Amino acid sequence: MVTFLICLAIVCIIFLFRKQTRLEMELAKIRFEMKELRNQLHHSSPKLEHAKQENQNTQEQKVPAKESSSTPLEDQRGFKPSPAQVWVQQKIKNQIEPGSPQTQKRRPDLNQHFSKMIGRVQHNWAGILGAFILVIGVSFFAFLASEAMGPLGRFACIVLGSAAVATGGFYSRRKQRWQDYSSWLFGVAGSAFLIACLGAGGMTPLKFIESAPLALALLFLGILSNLGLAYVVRNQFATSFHGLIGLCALSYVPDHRIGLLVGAVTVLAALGLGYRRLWDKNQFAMILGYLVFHHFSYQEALTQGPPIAKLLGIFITLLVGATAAAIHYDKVYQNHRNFVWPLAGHLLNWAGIATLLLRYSQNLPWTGALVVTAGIGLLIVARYARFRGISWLYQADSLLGVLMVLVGLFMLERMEWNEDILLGLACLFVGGFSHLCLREKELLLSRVTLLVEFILFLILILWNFDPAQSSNWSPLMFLTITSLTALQFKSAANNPSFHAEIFKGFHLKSFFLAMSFVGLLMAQYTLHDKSWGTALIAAYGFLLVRWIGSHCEAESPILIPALFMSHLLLGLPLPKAFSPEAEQLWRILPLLGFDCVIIFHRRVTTYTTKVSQASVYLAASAWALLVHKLSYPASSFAPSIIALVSSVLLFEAAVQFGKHLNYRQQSRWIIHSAAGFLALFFGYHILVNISAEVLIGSVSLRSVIGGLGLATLSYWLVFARSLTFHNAFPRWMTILWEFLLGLILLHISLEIHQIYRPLVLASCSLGLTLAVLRLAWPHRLGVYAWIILLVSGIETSYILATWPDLSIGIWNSVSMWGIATLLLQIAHVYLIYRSRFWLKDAYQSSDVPWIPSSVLRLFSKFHHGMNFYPVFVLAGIFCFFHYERAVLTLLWFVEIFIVFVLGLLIRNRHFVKVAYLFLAICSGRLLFYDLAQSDLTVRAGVFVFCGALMLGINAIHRRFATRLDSAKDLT
Amino acid sequence: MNDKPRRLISGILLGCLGAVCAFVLNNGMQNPSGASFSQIFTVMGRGSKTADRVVSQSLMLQDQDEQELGQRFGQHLQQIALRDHRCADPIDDLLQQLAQTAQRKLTLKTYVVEGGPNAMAFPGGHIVVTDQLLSAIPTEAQRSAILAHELGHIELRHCFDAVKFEMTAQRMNMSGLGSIFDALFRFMTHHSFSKTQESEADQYAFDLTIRHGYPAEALAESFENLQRVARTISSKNSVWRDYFSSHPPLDQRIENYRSKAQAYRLNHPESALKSDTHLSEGCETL
Repeated sequence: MVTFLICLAIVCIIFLFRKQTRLEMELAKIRFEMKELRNQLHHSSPKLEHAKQENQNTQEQKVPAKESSSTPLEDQRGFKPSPAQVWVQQKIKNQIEPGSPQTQKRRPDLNQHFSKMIGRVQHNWAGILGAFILVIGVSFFAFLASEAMGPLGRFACIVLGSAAVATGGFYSRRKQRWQDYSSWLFGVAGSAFLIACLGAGGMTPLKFIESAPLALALLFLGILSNLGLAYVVRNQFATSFHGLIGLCALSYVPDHRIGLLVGAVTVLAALGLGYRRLWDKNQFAMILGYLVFHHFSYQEALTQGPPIAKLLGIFITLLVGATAAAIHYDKVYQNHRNFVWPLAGHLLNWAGIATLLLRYSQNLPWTGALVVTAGIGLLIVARYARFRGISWLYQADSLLGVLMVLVGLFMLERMEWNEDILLGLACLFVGGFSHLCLREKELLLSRVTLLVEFILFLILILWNFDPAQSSNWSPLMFLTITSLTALQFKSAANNPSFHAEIFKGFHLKSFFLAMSFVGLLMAQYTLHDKSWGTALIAAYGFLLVRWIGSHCEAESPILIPALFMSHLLLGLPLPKAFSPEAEQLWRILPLLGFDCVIIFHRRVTTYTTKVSQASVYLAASAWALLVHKLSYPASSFAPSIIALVSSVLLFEAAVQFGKHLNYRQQSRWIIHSAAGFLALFFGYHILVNISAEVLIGSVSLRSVIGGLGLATLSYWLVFARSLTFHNAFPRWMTILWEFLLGLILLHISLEIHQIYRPLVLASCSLGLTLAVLRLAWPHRLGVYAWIILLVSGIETSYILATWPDLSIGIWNSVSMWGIATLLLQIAHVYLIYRSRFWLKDAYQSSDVPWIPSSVLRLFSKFHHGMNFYPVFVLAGIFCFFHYERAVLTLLWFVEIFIVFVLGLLIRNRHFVKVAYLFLAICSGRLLFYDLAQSDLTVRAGVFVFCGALMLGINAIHRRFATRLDSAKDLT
Repeated sequence: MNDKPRRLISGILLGCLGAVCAFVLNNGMQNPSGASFSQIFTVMGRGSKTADRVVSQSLMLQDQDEQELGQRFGQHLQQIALRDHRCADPIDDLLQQLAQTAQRKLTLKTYVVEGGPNAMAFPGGHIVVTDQLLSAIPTEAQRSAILAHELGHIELRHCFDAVKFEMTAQRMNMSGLGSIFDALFRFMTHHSFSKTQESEADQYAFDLTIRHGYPAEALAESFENLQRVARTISSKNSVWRDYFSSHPPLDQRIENYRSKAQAYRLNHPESALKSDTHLSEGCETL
């Protein structure tokens, strides 16, 4: 109970501080702008002087004023301003406008503030300490005075004090200058009165009422007066504050049913009062507070209570939830741009309702069906939001509805429904909804639902890949999905511009087509050798192809499916090829020949390039199947190696074909197929190779194959320029760098023991940075190096620091490797600062287009925060977790010393400032913690060492401070 | 452009690839566990495990907190333990012997209970071993390996990670809320994450058994014995099992630690005699 009260009080205090800080910041900003404005008016030399002169002249003329209606820059008296006046006025206008670029650029110089602050701290130790002691003395005095009074006296003191503050609040409301503070005064008065009311019946120091109903009445009076104050203030923040403290007080009420009921009334009243204006973060806080309160009440009373208590809980949940949700369906949100808080509040409200209702309906067998119904209900409510034109609400509710339906469907598994059917239903439901979104051109919803549809479809395929898991319903499910995706294909074909928008650069139409055909293949596969079914599905496929073809504009979409279908009829279905029957082989070999004819026959090539392209890919697929079929039974490692061989051979073939003008296109498709073999290698490597610990001598086979894969990738990257001259090597294939890095990291993760892994990762990141700096590797690898450095740091600080050390000698210990890793990380940071390789350079280069621009700005702005602080902080955390607390301050002093020396070496003031700041913090810890906690011997040692180190820092600073003075600002 | 260097390098590369391919085909090298997602799930689980550890460490909980929480488990386990089992005391002695190198300040205790072949670790240093497991694993070295695996879960704070929010909430007298958070966290990270933890515990057990002078093969042999019993229960392979199962496949673990033991033997030939002697002594003890 106390904890809950403290938590809510903390939330309130944080809100109050946030509000105050924001006001102060805005005040400081206005002051700063005024100062700047004054300076500029003062220093705008000839132009301003000229303007002043003209102004004086106009005053001297004393012409009667006209109405200022012609132009905004025109003088009030009707005179047209001079150019200088226009310039000054424009300047003023630009600076006062909040969104103007000038305002955004000008910010207070933090370095100056920091220097001033450091200076003050250096010269005011005694003052700060004196103030601190004075405050403690006054606190003691107040404590003693309160001890002398009885509970009634204390109650009276608090009530009188709160009345005085409230009077001050009323008084300040009338004065324009103090008006802003009135809500604060009301807040203080209300909370003090509430505490007094609560204490009068329940807190020992204030308790003077013994009768429970009377105490309860007094508490309700306190809550009511707080709501009254909220009504007087007419401010959302104040309303939520008063409502929240009312909830805090109610958590003390012993009868939780009454508490919950009054709490609901309080929340509804607060929501009603706050609804005078738009929903914002204060209402959000109110709902959050109510949910925490309700959960608390549920935990305490309703679980063990009678059914009536549960019903009351459900009723109140629905009442408050519906009221809170209904607010959003107002037209006022129709064109409301800033919908982040309303959205957050709305989502939180739904989440709260869902959580509470789920808790109340625990152990019900039909929970899944209820959730599905609720989800469908939510989708209907979402349609209402769409009808009102509130798009963000429609999107949020639709996504929640879809999620609920999916969760509900999977919960039906408890009722022993077949997972296969549930997955199929989920896929169909999401597919249907995505189709609706595509028709209605809802971009966000289309994106999300299409992604979910694809994932579910993938899961359905994987599920059915195991014959034991598929049911008799599976073919029907796949055929239905196939038909649905064909519909989506038609929709995409009819509305190409919108579909191109959904996933930029992604050919959604082809994707739907591929899904249709995969669905067909899976339908056939799940028939499990029922030949009549194959014929049926083939016939259905042909009908589907015809239907698709009749709804498409060009020749290609009909030809490629036709080709696929021919393969289907000839017996190439992919899953069949994985089956153990060797007689399937003969069906693959003629197809290889068939595809080769299509690729290289001149007439076919000129007739339609799409057919030729598809044939290259099909030939490659057939070859991959053949290899798998022949080599996998002999050795499970062979297919991955043959995939690598194929990729190299095809790469060479693409180079040779590229030299002939007639075969440039074929060359491009061949390189695509070669890339496909590389992808196949990765598939085999991940699925088969890495889970095997087969040794060749003392080396594991997976490392050997991994090394070969690394060599092949390097070969590709080195010789990629052999293909760029005829543009055969696609730009997206620079992604091979990522594969290379991924392979290295995978093997580090597999082969390297946890103790050495952070060190290897740190070396890897250092090596990458060096390669970017010295070998001109792509800049984005610098970004990856930074990520690896961060991972290495986290692994060192959180994993390695607490890893049980089983080593015998010091050279193999966790401490040794940890320190070595830290040194390497520090060396990395030193290298970055020394070579001025800020990550912003990497982000500004165009080779990482997938990084959002906001992240780019973040990186370019806070390069200290990205490079220096993580390593510095994580090194400190390593010391914290790994070493004894007694010597911790000492180790932190050493770290600060290293940072300080580094700062001097690279002439960076920021390092030195941070070192001084943490030196002050560590000195505080030394004086206030270590003095009381540590063992005497250790304490003496730590104090001597830290003292010496501080002296050393001081001496070095005196000797080398000039380095910093002469340093340029490297950042 | 000059094609010679490229052709030369591609030739060398193809030669190497061909040689390795011929070698694996000639020797008929196979992955005993076949195609499996389990290893990649284990690798991917490291991310969530690290995040989990960061959260756990940031909560600033002490061993004492876990010990306090573990007392509840201890009381329950005391009730169901087979105190008269002939292996109850030796197995506890074995644990105390292994725990000499433990770094966490927990009071470790073993409990022998009835049930299928299994062992598990609980927060607070409580290790449960079933009677069927003891009968399936006859030697001291293998039992040490199993105990070392469970000790690994305790030493590597896996049990601690699983109840961190509950422990934090318990401090604030809101353990119900904490257990919900724990359950939620486990739900989000469990499947891949637990396999990562099992791999870590295996590695710890391997290192610890060697440190205590047991044969390097002890862990693999204990898994083999376990598999012999477990095979009767389930031996079905599937992608879904790889994801949803809490442990890596047994055959993969056997292969893994057989190879590690083999590599250890190659690098430390002097350890062979000592370990074998120890093994025979162990068989007599238990």
